[in-house]
Amino acid sequence: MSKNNDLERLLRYAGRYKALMYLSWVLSAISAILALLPLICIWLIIRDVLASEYTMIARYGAYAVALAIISMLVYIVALMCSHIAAFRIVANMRKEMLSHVISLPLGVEDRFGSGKMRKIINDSSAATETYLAHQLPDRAAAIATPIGLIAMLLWFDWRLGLLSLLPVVLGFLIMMWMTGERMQERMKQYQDALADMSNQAVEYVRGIPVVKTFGQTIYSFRLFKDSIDRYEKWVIEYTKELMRPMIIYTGAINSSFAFITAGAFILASGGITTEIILNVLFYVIITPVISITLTKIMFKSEEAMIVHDAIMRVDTIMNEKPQSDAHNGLVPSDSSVKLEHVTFSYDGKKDAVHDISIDIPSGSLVAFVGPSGGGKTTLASLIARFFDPQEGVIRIGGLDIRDIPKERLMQYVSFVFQDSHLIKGTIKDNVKLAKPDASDAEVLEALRKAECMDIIEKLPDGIDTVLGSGGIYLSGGETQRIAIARTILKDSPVIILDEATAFADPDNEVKVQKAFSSMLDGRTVIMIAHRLSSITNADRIYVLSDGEIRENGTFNELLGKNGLFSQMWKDYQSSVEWKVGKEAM
Amino acid sequence: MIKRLERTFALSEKGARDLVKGFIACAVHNLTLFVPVGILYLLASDMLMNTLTGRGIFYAVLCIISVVLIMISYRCVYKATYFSTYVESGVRRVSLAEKLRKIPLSYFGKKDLADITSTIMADAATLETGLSHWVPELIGAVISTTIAALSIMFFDWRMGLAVLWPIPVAILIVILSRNVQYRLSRRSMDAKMEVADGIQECIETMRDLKSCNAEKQYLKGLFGKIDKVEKRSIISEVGTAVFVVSASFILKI
Ligand SMILES: Nc1ncnc2c1ncn2[C@@H]1O[C@H](COP(=O)(O)OP(=O)(O)OP(=O)(O)O)[C@@H](O)[C@H]1O
Ligand SMILES: [Mg+2]
Repeated sequence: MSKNNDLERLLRYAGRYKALMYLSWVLSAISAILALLPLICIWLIIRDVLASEYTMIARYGAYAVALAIISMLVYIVALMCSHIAAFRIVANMRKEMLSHVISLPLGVEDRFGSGKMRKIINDSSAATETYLAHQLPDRAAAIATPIGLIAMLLWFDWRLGLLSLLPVVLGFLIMMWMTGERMQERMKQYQDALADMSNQAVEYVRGIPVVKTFGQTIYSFRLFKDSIDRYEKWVIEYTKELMRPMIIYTGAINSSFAFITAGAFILASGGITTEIILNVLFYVIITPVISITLTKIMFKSEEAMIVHDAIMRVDTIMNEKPQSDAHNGLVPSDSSVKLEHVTFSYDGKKDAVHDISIDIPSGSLVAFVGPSGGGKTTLASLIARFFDPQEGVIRIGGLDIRDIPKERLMQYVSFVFQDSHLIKGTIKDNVKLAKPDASDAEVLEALRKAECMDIIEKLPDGIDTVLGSGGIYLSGGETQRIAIARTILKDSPVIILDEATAFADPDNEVKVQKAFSSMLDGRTVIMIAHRLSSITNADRIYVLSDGEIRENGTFNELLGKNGLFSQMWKDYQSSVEWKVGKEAM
Repeated sequence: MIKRLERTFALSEKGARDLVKGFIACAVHNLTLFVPVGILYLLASDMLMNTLTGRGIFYAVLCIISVVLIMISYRCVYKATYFSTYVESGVRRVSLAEKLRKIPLSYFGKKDLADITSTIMADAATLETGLSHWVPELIGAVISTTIAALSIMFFDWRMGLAVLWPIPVAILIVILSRNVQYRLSRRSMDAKMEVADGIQECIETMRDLKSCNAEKQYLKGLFGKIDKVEKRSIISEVGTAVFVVSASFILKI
């Protein structure tokens, strides 16, 4: 099966600490053997007692205790090694996954969902910890112990030895029967049922406050309750199924004593000697060790399955293809943007943008407008190469953007998102993200140009206020203005502005527009506008609907066409009037 | 006591009762495991006295009875622990979801609420395993060890004491160390939360980071946090090991 591959995979993450992992196994095995040695001391003690020879007993006892202590110390050192290595493996797994994630096209995160992705990166790696830190060293011990035991059992008296091994073999057979292929499948079903239940719970909890309608509540509760019932039914069935084998198994591993008793009778039938008594007594004492060892091994496979599952999850991320990156000295000759027959689809079924060709001369201002879901953001994201189109070529300054090293491309293109996210940190950190070596004065200047001074003034520590803590959060419009300041500081020749769809207050709206306009001069600007009044002076307007360009031209040309755009303009104006009217009231 | 169990493990009254049954079943099962010891003791003395002949059937019957006892008592354990917890889990999940639903939404963002819910549901699963596997086993072991030790004391109080004294001492060490351990695990927990948050933020702001060419720089910071988790985990592991070692040393001697 693939378990050995899993282990290999994990060990690859250990780097230099791999040796430490191996060392922990060796130490653990040594400790296991050491733990068996006191048994020999016990044998010696019994022998002396039977021979009424008491002088050495205390010394044997001391040896036994010393050996036990040494064995324990060795075991602890082994665990220390395995833990250090396990922590390193977990850390490296996370790092490698994160490094991989940043090389992926952006669509991948959307597809996974940020919560799920975090779970895989953070939790699936952590899930391997117990396995690595405890199970593997224990397994080494679990292999060493039976070998040592068997050697010892057979050495002292092979007949009794074989007899006391019989239940062990029985136990093993039963265990194999229980933890075969079917078990693996069961484990997966169990995980699925759990996940299903958790999803329904989320839907239920989340859905309620939003959808107030009574019917909906009942419906989502039903779904949740059903998933719980399904889980419960499954688990109980599974538990029932396992009951019989578990009982037999428990009976088997605990029946060594019966075999010894039988053995004693068989041996005794030929006359009782001290040696026979000695051996029987000895086996009486050590057989419990066998059942303990067996129980220890019992739990192994369960964790191995968890690890297997975790690695499968990790692979769902690691198998995503990273975006290619160029390594060359090519520099775009100017800041023109050219799209040639660009087609892109998120899901491979429906094209989000279809066969689009646009020519944007250096230094011009163009606008993308159109109904929601028309493909404006998608098209703009393609220009910033957040993902690659399935067909067609995008050129900046004459170069295919796939031939421009990513870092240089990002120096050329700035994107102010419809919904920007700020990192937890100060305003200054956020603005400086684009230019880490910027001075405070530069930061302030950018913030001023982006109309952010009113935000700064109301914060307790100005630009050094930490966002996201102490209840300090910014509204969508405010966030967008900070993002604009960031872009101003970055000062790139191509700028893409994705206007937020809706603003809570008109004051914010005016400020964002003003902030936008401070960036226009001398750059190539692509503006995605929902407020059509802001693009009356655009050099060219493209109307996107259903992923295709329906119309294009200057503002006046488009109005004259009496098509989609002029309809949009009428709608827009009446909505503005409605809004103004409402405010006047 | 039932009431307290109900509260500690978020159980219904029936669940708490079942849990107590689980404790008892585990204890009884452990005690049945002592029966073979008695049989072997008899066997040894018979051998020493040379009175073994003719008692074969007697021993055979004893052996069969005790194996059957072990299996029956294990069946009880199985039923009382695994079955009842899984029945209980459905009840618990529904009541959890009800509680979550009543939290004012403004308290968490919508997304946070979803995250919290899925976390809590995962915790419910952990609690389930704990209740079905570890808790009854532990309590059962404590009960049966006490009974066994007490009965040894009944025969010979000095021997009983010799067996028993390390237990309170070990418990004392565990209690004394709890404070230190709590602080250690607290700090490693904090580091872990920071990493989880960092990963989440990194994914959520990836677009912004990329458009600022800042993703590598951000990752550097995040790697620092991951390294810190590694360091803190080692520290808390060493700390825990020190106490566990000293406690189990005393138990072994
Ligand atoms: N991450 C994504 N994964 C899958 N499909 C997406 C994704 N983002 C957008 N889409 C789909 O692609 C199409 C175009 O979406 P896009 O966001 O480009 O529209 P838009 O013109 O920017 O709309 P709006 O004016 O609302 O911002 C829509 O049908 C949308 O559902
Ligand atoms: Mg959009």
